[in-house]
Amino acid sequence: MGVLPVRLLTRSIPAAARLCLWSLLPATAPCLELTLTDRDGAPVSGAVVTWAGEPAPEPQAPSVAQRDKTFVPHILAVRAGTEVRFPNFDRTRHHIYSFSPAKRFEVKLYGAGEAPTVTFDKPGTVVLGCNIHDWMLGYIFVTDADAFAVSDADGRLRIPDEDGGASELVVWHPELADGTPQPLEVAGSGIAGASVTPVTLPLERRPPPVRIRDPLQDLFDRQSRK
Amino acid sequence: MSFRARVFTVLLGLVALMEGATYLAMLNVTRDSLREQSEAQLRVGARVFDNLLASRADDLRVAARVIAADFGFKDAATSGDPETMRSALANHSLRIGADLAMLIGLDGRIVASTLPPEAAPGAFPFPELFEPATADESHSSVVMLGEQAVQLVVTPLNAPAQIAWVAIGVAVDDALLERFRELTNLSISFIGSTPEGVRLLASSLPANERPLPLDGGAGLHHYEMTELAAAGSRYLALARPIDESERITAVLKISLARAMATYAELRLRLSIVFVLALALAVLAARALAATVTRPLRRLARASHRIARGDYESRVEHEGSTEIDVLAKALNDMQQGIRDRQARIVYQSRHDSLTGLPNRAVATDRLDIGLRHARRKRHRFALLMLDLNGFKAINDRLGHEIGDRVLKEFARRLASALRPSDAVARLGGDEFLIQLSNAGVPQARETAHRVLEIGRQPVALDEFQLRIDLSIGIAAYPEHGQEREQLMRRADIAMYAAKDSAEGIAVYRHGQDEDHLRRLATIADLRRALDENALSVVYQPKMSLAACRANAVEALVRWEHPELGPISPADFIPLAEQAGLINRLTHWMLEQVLAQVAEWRESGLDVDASVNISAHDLLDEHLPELTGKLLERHRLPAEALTLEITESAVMRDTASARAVMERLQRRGVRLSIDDFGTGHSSLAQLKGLPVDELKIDKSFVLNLDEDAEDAVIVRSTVELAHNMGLAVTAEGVESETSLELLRAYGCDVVQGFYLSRPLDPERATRWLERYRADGRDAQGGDEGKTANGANAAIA
Repeated sequence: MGVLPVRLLTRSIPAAARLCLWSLLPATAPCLELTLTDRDGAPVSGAVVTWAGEPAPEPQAPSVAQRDKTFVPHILAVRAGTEVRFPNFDRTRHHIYSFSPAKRFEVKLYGAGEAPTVTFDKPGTVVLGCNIHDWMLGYIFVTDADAFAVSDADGRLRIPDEDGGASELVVWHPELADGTPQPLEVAGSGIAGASVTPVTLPLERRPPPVRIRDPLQDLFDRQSRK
Repeated sequence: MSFRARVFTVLLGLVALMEGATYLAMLNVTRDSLREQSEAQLRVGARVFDNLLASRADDLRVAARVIAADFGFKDAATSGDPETMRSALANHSLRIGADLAMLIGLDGRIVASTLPPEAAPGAFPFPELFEPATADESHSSVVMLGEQAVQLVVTPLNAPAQIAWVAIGVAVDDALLERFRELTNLSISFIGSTPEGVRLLASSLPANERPLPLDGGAGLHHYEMTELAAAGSRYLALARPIDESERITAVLKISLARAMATYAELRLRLSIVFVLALALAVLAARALAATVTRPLRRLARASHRIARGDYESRVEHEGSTEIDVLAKALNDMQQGIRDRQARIVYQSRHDSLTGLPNRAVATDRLDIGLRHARRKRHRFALLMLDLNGFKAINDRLGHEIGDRVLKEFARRLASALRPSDAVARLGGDEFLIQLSNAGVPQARETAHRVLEIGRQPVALDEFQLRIDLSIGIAAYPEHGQEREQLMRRADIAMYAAKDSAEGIAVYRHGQDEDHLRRLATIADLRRALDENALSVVYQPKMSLAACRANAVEALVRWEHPELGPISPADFIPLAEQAGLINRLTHWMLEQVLAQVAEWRESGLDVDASVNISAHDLLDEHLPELTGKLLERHRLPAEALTLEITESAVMRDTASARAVMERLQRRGVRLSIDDFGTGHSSLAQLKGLPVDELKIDKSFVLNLDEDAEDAVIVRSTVELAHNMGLAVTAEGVESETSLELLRAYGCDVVQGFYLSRPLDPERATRWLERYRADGRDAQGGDEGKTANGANAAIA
């Protein structure tokens, strides 16, 4: 595991922007804001960064919903020992499973409105799938680190930054280094105050699984492709 | 080479060439066709096999994907338990009839497989399949695994993200290839090449043929058809790679022997057919050559016949082929030649004007007649005809009239004769009739008939003409035995007929000899003239009134080398006949005038008289020549007297008169000689431009004895004087006669009593002696001598 080369551009961000972002934080907690992008400059969402230090606020009642035959969110991060709900908002039944060593489980065919729960006690990556809908793919990152955060759709992620702030940063993304957590180095700034740090992650993007709209159409297409 | 052989060879050559070409072409095409069929079969077989493999691959792929999608299989595969994984693999591969299955980690290592542990490799040997398997969700290929060819499918195992690869394989074994062979009739073998060498992976061939593809395998090029020969058979092979790395080659083979069996049979049959056709062609060619050459030879023979002169036998032809056209042309040509030949022969044997046979035919017929007569002891007679005065007709009335006369006469002649009598025109106005089986009497009879024909007038435009004929007859065998002889004697007889009253004369023995002698004499005379072998003698004349010899008569003398002296009475007529008389006269005049000139120069004043003939009177140049001669010798014209016999003068009075007048105009004196013996009338005499008459010696010779002669002489003298003419009497041989003549009043006398004719020398001496005194001349030496010698000179 190599150390991530990170580029810091602390001083290039305009003070106004800094002020703006700064205002969003709780007055007492100085933060480090990271913006994660891939090599193409596209925001990376769903990247989990864990650190040692003050525990960060965690979302209550973590869940991975099935909506429109998709796992929402695509990536969930939980502390080991957390119970996760799986509400089914689709009209069809789902048969979710995972063969990941961190948690092998399956929930067979539960219908709409039902929300089975599963407790994830071992840290690790759990890959979620649905036996009925092969394309459905989700990730649950189970961590036992002090604190963790997940980048949002814009690739933003806030890390507390003070003396005794975040340290031992580790970043994980399914498309990063084949799902192996990587240490993340962010050079500290002697400047008190917020700083937005863009981080580029060398992801190997994989195309999403092909979603089947119409099974029969799909069958027909396959046949004609042959 | 003969034409026939050439035709034969060409025909045969053509047929053989065509046959050969066809044969080869057919066989080639067939062989190529069969070969192409085999190749096509191979290619089709290859496609079939491709299809077979592809279809199996598809099935395998589908099956593999189904397996990989199976939840239970995923569960077993992610269990982590090797045994579980292995049995899941085995179970599922068994279900689909696969021969092996593998589970491969994403790192490429085989996690589990149905292979025996010792045979299972650690890493998946075909990582190149991963990428296409990802792209297409599955990928199949034929691979070599150990000693086997395996059709392998790789598909990702998604749970739900890809966690591993699943590989399923079905062996390509002999059974499969055998099934393929049953389907396509092609043998197929799979050959794998490894670093260690080439290995046979599977084959449809029976065990005993196994090594074969290997033997041929080395050197087989992919995708090319190659012909192999192995174990006595021939094969067509196609090698193609089966996998992408081209380590496995499929070799399809088809036996050519079967295909070629068809070809071999075809070749045999064709050969038989062509040999037969060739034999037929030989026969046909021979026959055709013959049909062409046979008629040609026939025509050639016909041409030879014509060349040899056979104009009769025709070449038979029917139909309208080119040969027949040629035969017909040959016949036409033959006809043409025959006609022309006949025409030429006719023209060569017939006279063109009258249509009668010509001289050549006459001679031939005479020869034939002679032979015939000799053999059969027959007689025959020749009649030689001549139209009198025909030359005059031509001259006066023109040749056109003359021709018409001849034509008419010939026509009449032909009609008057028997069929066995032969008529011919010898030329000009001469005709010959050959009477067979006839003697002189019959000949005479025929001659009379012919004369009668002539006497019937020929009507010509405005007037009529009568033909006078002279016919001479000579008969075989009395008048001659040879052709030339008979013809000549008939000719002589004809000339004799001209002088006879009836116009017909039969040859008399001796005439021929006379004739010949005459001919000889004429020739001699001509020579004598040429050589100046003649001589002139002079007989003095005395003028009774002047009693003086003041003139001479010049006479020609000829001494023939063999015959001796020939009398002028003999050779003058000959000269006239031979047309020599003019020359003779000219010569005489030259001699005489030269002599007279000589005399006058020496003081002898002498006149001379020269005898001329009727022919001379017809000579228009005579006056001129005479004038020239007189001039040359510077003599007065009166010194010359020309004596013409009475009968000569009377012959052609009109023309004679013209010449005589011209002579007289020059001053030359003219005298009528032998007066009293001709057939003149006084009326004719009256008009003639003469100066003198000479009484013929016949009246003077016996003057002293014959009273009648005396009367004649006396009256002639008187007559002459009354007409203004002088008179000379010749033949004075006695004094009595002389005195009588003097009494009658004759002017000049001439005769032996004075002198016989003297040669120039003696004449000169005589004239010198007696010039002064004529009286002395009488009874002088020469005269007396002459008397005695009278008889000698005759």
